[in-house]
Amino acid sequence: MIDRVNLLWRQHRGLVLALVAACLVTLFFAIRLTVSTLYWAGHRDAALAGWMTVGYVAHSYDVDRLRLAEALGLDPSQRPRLTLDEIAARSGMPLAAVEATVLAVIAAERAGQAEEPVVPDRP
Amino acid sequence: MIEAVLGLVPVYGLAVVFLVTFTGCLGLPVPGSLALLAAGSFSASGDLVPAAAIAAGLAGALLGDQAGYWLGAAGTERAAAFAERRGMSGALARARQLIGRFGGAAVFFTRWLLAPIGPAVNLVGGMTAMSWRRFTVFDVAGEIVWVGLYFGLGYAFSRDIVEIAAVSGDLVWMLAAAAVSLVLALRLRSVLRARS
Repeated sequence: MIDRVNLLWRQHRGLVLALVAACLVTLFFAIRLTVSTLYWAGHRDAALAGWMTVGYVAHSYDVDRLRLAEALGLDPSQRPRLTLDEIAARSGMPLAAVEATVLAVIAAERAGQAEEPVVPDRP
Repeated sequence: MIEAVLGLVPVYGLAVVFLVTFTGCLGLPVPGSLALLAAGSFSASGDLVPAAAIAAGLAGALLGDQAGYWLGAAGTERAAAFAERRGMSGALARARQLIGRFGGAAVFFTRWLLAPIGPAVNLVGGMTAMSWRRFTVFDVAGEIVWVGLYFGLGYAFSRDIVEIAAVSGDLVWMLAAAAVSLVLALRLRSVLRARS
């Protein structure tokens, strides 16, 4: 066995090193996969993020899209697909303020207060 | 990184889906599968038209693969000359033989299951003069699986898109690295057998 390993190491060093590297890469991704699966199992509720569009938030949190757009001060005729980051940039509000408005709509909708419009504070 | 790509898709739309799958299939380090997951996810939320997003992803992937194949084919003579100079004509002939025997399956499975190896297979397919028709038939079949799989995952699990992206990315890279390890181990074994 040792003889064989020695032989391979002496005569096919490149191949042996490539095999070791490939095994290490496999192990790295196996560990990362395990960690992210465990993490996922513990964190079901996705937080709001700047990349999310109004439509995505509405779909994800099961709230009415038009109501959400209205609360964010968007014209329904505007280009769809605006992300929260874009809305923040356009209105000059920090992302956190936009997210707070969105959360208020979600909370209101979940509490069943569909009649009460949510108006964000605007500078 | 995942969130950066997710943020580009709604802003630039189908152009991002096309460009990322195209350059990814050419071998540039861009996250093609992630772009497809995002396309599926934003189709589910009504931000993209599903059929158009699938078409953009499929067109990018197929054109990228074709470009890789033709780059390889253009390098055929140079590869042959290089192999000749280094006394590796045997290796090139063996690669041709392997492609002849397993080429179709290699093309099919490196489109989706072992996707990170796909761009290299495109080049080798062109270099070893694998028949263009054969390459294209298996390529189209494999890319339909790839695009359908990731678009479908993104569509079905739209809410958990960030987690799906992380898990599927790690899984695919792990499988690809495991496949490379297996090939290298078999190669070392055959070296040992030839000695004893």
